[in-house]
Amino acid sequence: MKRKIGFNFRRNWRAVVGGVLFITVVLVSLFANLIAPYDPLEINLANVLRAPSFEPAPDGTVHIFGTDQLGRDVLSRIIFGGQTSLTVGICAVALAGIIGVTLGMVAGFYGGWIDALIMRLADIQLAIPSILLAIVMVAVTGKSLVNIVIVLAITGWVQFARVVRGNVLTIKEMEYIDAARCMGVSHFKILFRHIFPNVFFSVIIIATLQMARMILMEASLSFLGMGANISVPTWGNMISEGRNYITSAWWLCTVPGLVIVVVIIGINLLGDWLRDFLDPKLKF
Amino acid sequence: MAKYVLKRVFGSLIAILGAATVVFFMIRISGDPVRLMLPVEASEEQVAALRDSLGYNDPVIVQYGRYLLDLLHGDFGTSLHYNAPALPLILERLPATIELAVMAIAFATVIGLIAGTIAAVRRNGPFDVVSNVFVMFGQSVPVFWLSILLILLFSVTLKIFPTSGADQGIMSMILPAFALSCYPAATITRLMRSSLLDVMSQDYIRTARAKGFSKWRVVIFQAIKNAFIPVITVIGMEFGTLLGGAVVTETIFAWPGIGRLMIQAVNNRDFPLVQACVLVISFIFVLVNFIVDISYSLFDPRIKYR
Repeated sequence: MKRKIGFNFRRNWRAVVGGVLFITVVLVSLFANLIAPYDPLEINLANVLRAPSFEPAPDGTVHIFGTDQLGRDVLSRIIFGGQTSLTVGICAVALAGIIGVTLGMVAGFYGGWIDALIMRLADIQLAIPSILLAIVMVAVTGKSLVNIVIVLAITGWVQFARVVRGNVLTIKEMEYIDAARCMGVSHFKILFRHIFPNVFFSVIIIATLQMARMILMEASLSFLGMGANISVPTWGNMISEGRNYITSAWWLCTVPGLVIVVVIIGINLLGDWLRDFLDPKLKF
Repeated sequence: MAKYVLKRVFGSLIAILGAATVVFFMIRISGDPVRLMLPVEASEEQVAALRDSLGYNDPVIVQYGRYLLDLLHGDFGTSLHYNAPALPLILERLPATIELAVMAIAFATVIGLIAGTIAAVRRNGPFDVVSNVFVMFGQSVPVFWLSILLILLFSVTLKIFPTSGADQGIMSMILPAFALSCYPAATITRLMRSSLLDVMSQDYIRTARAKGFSKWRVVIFQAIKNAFIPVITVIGMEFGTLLGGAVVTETIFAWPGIGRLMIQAVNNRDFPLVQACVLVISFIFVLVNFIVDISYSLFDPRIKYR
């Protein structure tokens, strides 16, 4: 049978759409300084609550997503808000991944009481709904971006650990691992040289799906006033502030929310596609 | 089966004990929990007095032991703000949270079952595409944003439902329940679709079709029952999440449930009440998951537990 080589858009549209959305957001956030038309923190009381429009305001500035209650440009705030959301999302996923993958590999490889202990820890973690845990921890440790990253990572490591452990349980029974053992390769080396590359794809898939969850959680925390410092624009606190003007200035709430939806859809599409593409058997 | 149930009971107890421990130590990671509970301008005497009255002068291990003993006696601590035992305060709000979660999961199940079934039967048809878009949207939309939009559309503009509160009976429940149901509805739709597609490819379905039953008849009387089994677990798990995770929605709609009580407690720096809230919610969460796990074998006799 002739195997069709080349790009099949119908089968891979999720990769294209998700990838384009995600990369756009990453690039825009990365170059926020160059792209954002105005300073996101610049207050201009002459230009308060201007509706989205391509027409220039009396002072000559153009605000395609309007301005907020202090006359700040909504588009610029969204662009800089993306920086916060993405930084928090990526750092939290990376940290959760490091903790989860390490614990999952150790649990799966060594088994016995270590495995039991780590998996009980995971059960305990799952017994407390993550948003509650996050709220309480932020309330106790204080509102800062670093704390939020740590808190989100703590709520996210279990998914990594569970999947990696499951994978390791199968991989460690394989012959090449036996061979490595016979040759006297250290446990550490077996884990990171020989087992880790084989769980890597699963880790990437979970990381993508977790990324969406982390960004949503960060937005929820910001919305509840448990997020980063209020002076830093984030999508969540923009919606939270905009809520007070919901009847007079619809765009303050709607636009940042739509941006979140589009970004999350992009990441989820990418994650779904990766899952089907890299590991069709993987079930969550 | 009995052995499996025992094992699960034991596991659940450990999880609850662990959650209690986490909650206990959580408010101590900042160093001095008493400082957290008082305003910044509180005097040293006030700090010392509160510390003394809460028993925080004892060694941590003694405090922990006392805390666990109190929990066993049903004493979840005393709210600083209400100056009353925490547990009754929470139990008072529990019915509101349960009502909302039940209504949300009912919405989600009905939407998910119908949409998932039609999407699977009319695979790749226009409805399948629409339901896919719905699933994508439902799993990506932040619930707080959706809630605000719903309020803007149905309460402010159309004036059909109240903006917040719980004083108009079922009318005040519809919007928050709908907002909450969006994510689980998307998950159920997706799972129902794939599960039904799985079942539809099996031999007994082909046999039924070969006997001349119409497609819809086979779907409704034979396939749905089996396709529904994996969906039940997800419904149960989502229900557990709704009971605990409705914090944001309850806050937006000023719904008098546990979630809102907890946020208020956090804002009032009423940490004993916060602790109790997290603990009660975790307990419910573990209990619901336990029931879902056990009931699984009732729905599917093919499953054997070890």
